[in-house]
Amino acid sequence: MTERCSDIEGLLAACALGALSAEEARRVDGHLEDCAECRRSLSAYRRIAQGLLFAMPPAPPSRRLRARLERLIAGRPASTRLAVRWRLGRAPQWALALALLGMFILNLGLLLNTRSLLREQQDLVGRLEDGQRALALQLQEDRTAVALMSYPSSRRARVEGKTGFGTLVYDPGLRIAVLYAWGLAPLEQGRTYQAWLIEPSGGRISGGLFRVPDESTPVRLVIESPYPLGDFVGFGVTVEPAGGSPAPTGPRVLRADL
Amino acid sequence: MSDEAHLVKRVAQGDREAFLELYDRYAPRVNALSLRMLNEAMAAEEVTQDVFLKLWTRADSFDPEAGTLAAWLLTITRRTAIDRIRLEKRRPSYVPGEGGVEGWRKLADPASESDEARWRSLHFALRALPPEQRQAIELAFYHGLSHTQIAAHLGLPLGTVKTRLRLGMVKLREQWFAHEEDPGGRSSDAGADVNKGGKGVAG
Repeated sequence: MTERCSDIEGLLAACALGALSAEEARRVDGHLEDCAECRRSLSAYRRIAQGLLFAMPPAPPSRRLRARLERLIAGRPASTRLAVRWRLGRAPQWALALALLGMFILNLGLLLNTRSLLREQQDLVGRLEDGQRALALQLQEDRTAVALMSYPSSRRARVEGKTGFGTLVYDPGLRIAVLYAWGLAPLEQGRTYQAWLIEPSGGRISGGLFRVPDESTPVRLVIESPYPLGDFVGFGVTVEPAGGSPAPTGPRVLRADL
Repeated sequence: MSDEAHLVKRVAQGDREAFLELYDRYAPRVNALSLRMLNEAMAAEEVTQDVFLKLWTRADSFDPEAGTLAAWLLTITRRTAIDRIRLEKRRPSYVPGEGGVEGWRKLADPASESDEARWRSLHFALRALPPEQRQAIELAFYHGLSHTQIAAHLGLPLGTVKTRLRLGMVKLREQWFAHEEDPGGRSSDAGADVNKGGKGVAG
């Protein structure tokens, strides 16, 4: 008897009785793979354990139990495994085909729905990105205006029109200005507002395009000029075709003297 | 094919007469084991009913090459009773199995007399064990407790429980194989270990 057998032999009786822990059972199983002697010993203990199933005098149950069982088996098919196999084996092919077709249609519907949801999601992401860009632009414009107003030589020109009004903030020595305007009406499709800087010679230089979403929303436009603002004598806003014009063509809606 | 294998095959085909014949033959044994484990007549009959319903619905899973129908039914009985004990969280109310010899004589099938004699001698050998060894074996086998659970239930060290189980089963094994060669061939070695007073001997 090896040392390992002496460790395991003490567990074999309990193994036959089913009293080992999972870890002990694994130890025994592992040892039994290589030890014929312990396997024979366990086999002997298992015969005793099987004998314990019988080691009491028979005890007939009541007559009621027999009658109850007769009633129960009358309403229950014997050997349900056979019944289930029979049912599956006899399923008509057309029923299986119909089930498969149904699954295909369902999966197709799910796929189309998923694609639609993805498109909606992409549209939403696009709108969110546009909104984010607009906010970033407004923030930059506000910062520019604040910075301009802090310059000691900065000026404000009153901007006026039939329905609109506002303020142009600029520094004569700088090439940047900011327009704040209210009361301009939204334009129909194909039209845009265009800002102009007026030279002493009467020439007009474009200061940029802008749109007004609604009358309650103030206009905020940063104007970048090729020359210092002090070189110009006036400012104006006209209505032009979408994309702007090389020179004013439409009605003037705002003006200011610089 | 043996007689009982033939009957089981008929049961698998829905033969109620074959089923009732097997019921009459084995219900006393199934009910005796249930009663031994649950110690309550009504619960024992419920387990007996479950076992025979399993025979009715799973007769095709019996393999005559793997063992006798009686052993198959009683193994199902033990598992069903243990499941019930665990489900109902029945605390082991250890009551040593009693019963006189008279019950043995009612067994109808004379062909099983030699087995019957061995089961009867095992019954008495179990009763003759030192009480603590018998208790450990019965808690393990008839109540489905592990080493650890028996130790917790009795408030004993785990080593003591393991020793009691081992010593008790060694004695039963000596009794069982008294008239034939012990296939394990270790009974004398086990006896020598016991005589040397292995660790944790308490029985």
